[in-house]
Amino acid sequence: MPQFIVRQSLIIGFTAGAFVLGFDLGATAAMLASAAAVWIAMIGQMMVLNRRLAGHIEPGPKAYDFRGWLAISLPILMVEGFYLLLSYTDVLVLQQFRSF
Amino acid sequence: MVVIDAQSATAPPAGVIARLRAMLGGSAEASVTTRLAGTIFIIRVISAALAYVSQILLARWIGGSDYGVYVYVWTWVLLLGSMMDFGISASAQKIIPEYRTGGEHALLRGFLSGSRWMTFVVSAAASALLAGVVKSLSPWIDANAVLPLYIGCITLPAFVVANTQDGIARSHDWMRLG
Repeated sequence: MPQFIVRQSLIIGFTAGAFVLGFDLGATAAMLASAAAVWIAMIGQMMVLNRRLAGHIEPGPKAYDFRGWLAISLPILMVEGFYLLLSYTDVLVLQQFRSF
Repeated sequence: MVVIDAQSATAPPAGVIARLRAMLGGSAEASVTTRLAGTIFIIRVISAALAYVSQILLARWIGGSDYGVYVYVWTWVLLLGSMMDFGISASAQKIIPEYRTGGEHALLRGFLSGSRWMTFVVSAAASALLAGVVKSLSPWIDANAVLPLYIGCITLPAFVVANTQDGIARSHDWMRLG
């Protein structure tokens, strides 16, 4: 299952469980549920991915071309980064104007 | 594009089910692409529905003010987490096929493990730094947001590695993994 779905389901599941058990839910509890969900989803994805990759490529020597990877990735990062900034800055700036 | 258009223009009008089957069931490149796109579309719809429902539920359960803090912290996680993989999750879809078709198996194996280790180490270090920033700025941050921000820092490395793995899975057409 894709990360989006696993993550969201786990977050809802954890918070619903805490809610049913009668815990006083707050931002901290919700973030704890999210952190656990993200880590669990990532580790599950890693196990499935590693198993599939093992069937896809035989074990052997490894070579790393960090410089080459970054040369391809960094221009993409620039494009993605500005797009992300564009879409998220409103929420981050809005926090500065909220009344307490 | 031209080929597909020409085909659909000349093909006799068949039943909808037969057309769907031809679109989704075949092994030709076009039907594989259609199937992948269909899978992604379904995933997108489900995750949008889930996000919508979870927003309502969470806002009701944790209250307006705390939900604002939660969204604020998640926005930081999404913004920084999506940038901290240096775009590797996107470029994996260029690098992996390139290594595969070039028969460079050592480099391919290196990328499959090295990309994840690199993004994990860098994002873990960056998260530790960010936690330090939160600590030093804590007099000026809303007191209710400080602890959630720390937890956000803990979330970041896993989020970044998951992003990188998404990229690796997508490069293999394993859409249900990424």
